[in-house]
Amino acid sequence: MRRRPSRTLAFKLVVILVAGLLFYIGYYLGQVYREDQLKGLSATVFQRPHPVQPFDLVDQNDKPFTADSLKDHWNLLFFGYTHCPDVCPATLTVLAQVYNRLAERPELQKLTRAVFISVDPARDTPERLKKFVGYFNPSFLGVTGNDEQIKKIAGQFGIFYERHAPVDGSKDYAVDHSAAVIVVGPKGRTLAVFNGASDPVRVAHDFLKIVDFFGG
Amino acid sequence: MMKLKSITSALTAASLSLIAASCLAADLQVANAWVREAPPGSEVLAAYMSVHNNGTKTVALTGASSPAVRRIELHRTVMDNGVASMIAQDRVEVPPGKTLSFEPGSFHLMLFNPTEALPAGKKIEISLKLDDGTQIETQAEVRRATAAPMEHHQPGQ
Repeated sequence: MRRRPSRTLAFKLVVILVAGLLFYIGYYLGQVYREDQLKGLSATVFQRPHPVQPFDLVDQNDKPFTADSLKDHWNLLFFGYTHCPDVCPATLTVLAQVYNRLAERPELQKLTRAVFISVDPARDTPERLKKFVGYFNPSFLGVTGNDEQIKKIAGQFGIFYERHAPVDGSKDYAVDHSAAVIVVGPKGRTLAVFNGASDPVRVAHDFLKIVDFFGG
Repeated sequence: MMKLKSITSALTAASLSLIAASCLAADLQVANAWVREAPPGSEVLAAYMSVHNNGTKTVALTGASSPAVRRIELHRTVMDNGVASMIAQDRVEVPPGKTLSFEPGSFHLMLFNPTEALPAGKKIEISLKLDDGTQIETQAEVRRATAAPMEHHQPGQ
């Protein structure tokens, strides 16, 4: 028969305090580690993300496309136009390569898509967008709207665009636009922004870090 | 036999002198010219290449044309504060001894309104105009610049 050690109230309090302190240190280190995961990324990550504000657009199949349409997907939003020969095809090519690199995580790949938002609604009909965007990857989506609607969604994401006057003697005109790629997660929140996408390996790596940081 | 040999050597001499002539005319060497295959129905495409100046003077490109498209402009994509602008260039200078890359996100040839279908694998002739009034001919292959998912591959690609 061994005697049970006597446990005074003070002893119990000390045990509780130490346990609490250890728990707090663990939690704190966990947070630091979690935020460390985002260091050195080529994207700006919003650690307290805000939901995407309501907008009204139309997709390449003539169906309404709203903030709710972004939910349940990992969306890579990119603003551009189909008469753009350099930056837009180059970026959509990179996003298609990023998509292909997600093959190791089929569940995630299934939910991931690029959403190409036209800044040239006068020329970019849903039909035209479908041909253009589908060429890069059949699961990518093109969306457009009227001037007012495009201005509203571009404003929400801080996207600048400006149409040039047509080149002399032709109807051709170019549109300046931000080359940013915006990550909107399955809860419909804006999680991160890439200033541009030119290196598929880097974007895929950073995208996975963002996905793992926020989870589904 | 003798005849064939002499024809061959005559042809060789002729082609060598042609090469020499074009070098003398331009001092510019164009390599790796390619056109990015565009999605179906596209009215614009971009072509890229590298241009090396072998000479001792700066040479400028002032224009381009091709029988495969209605019009070509020299362009440069400029990124300013994250905003991409395409700026038409009247002349693109290549300093002596330097190589200028026409590449995605930078200098490119903007091709307007193809006069025929331009699928990957097709080769088109491009003629570059220089500021000394001469021209350089180059051939550019249309290439598909994306790794498409398997189910999207079409036969023959």
